Amino acid sequence: MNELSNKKFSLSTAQVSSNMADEVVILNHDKGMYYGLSEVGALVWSALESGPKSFDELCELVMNEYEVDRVNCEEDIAALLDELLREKLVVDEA
Amino acid sequence: MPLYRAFELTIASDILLPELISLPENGNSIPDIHIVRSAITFPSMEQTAIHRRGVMARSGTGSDGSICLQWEGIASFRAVGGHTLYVDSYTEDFALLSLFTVSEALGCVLFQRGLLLLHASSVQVGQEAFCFMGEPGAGKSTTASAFVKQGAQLLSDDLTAIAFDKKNQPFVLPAYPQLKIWGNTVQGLGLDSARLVPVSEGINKFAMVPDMDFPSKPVPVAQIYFLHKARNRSALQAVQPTEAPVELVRHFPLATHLLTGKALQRHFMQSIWCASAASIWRLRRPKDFASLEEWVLSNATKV
Repeated sequence: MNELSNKKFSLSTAQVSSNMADEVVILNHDKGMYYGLSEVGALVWSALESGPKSFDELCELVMNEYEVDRVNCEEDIAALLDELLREKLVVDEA
Repeated sequence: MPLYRAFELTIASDILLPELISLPENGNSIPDIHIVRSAITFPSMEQTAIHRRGVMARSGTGSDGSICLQWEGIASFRAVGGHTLYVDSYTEDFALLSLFTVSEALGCVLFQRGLLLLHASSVQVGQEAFCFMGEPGAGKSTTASAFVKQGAQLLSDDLTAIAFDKKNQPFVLPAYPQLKIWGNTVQGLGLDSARLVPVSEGINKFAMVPDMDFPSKPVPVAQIYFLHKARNRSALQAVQPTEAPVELVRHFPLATHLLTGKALQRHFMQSIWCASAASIWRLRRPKDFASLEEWVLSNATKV
């Protein structure tokens, strides 16, 4: 059981983003930092744009789109969310 | 009080601005911007990377959102609400004062009016605008002059202001009919020296007023070029749309402290809209005037 499973994730108010050519470009306007996401990252971001999602929901979504086993998928999503949280682009709610 | 037209705006000014198009003073146009002589009280000021004639500018933002710009020995400016630019001059040289007024200082007012500002020279090719960005010395004005020589219309030199319509389409606002070019550009491109006036004493730079009507309508942005001189990069490389916001911040012509919070968000969205509507390139500056003219000819087919 992953400690992330029970949490919901949503986009922070410090960011503004735009989808361009299958990629997402993001600005953290508090920090003045820019980020780019492609493929899995862009897919997760788009899902979060439509509302808060749980870790499991995000994993399901990615597994539906990509041929990846659950263990690897969970690892990738956990790493991605960790980074997005650290950069204050995403916030979590217990 | 003289009335002028620049960037699609009517400007009433206490000081002479010979670069701009004069309007009849008895007309019924209501000024959008007032340029007013006044003493200026500064907020806390910081050094910027903006330099002109070897003078570095200091800038600061007041608690009322006004933007101050100070050029030692030349003038201080305070832009308020996108409608008034206060000027405190330290020089008797009215041409020098005008040069500094119609560049970054007026740019601060345009920024307050919500326009996207590029450190770029722009020309109209056919029905489209081409913008040339780059560090000082990268060849912005030279490239624009080479297009003008081939019959393109000048839209702006050094400072380009972009407005967006309701569909977020970008348009270059025609600035004023003057290009400032180096003496070697005049010779290199074989320009008619009869149309040139020295910018001021001691500097080998000339002002060129193109021999044609100045465009009066906004022109849709089609091409944006970042000029560079790096030999180790390819001659022409597409800039990915996702890179546009960072590149446009890097070439922001005003003090970077202005790009925070809401203003930075606006700049980000406007950059995205530009990247959606226009092609963006990194272009290595052609190695000499002959290759520049060749490149211009191959791109000016729509002129």
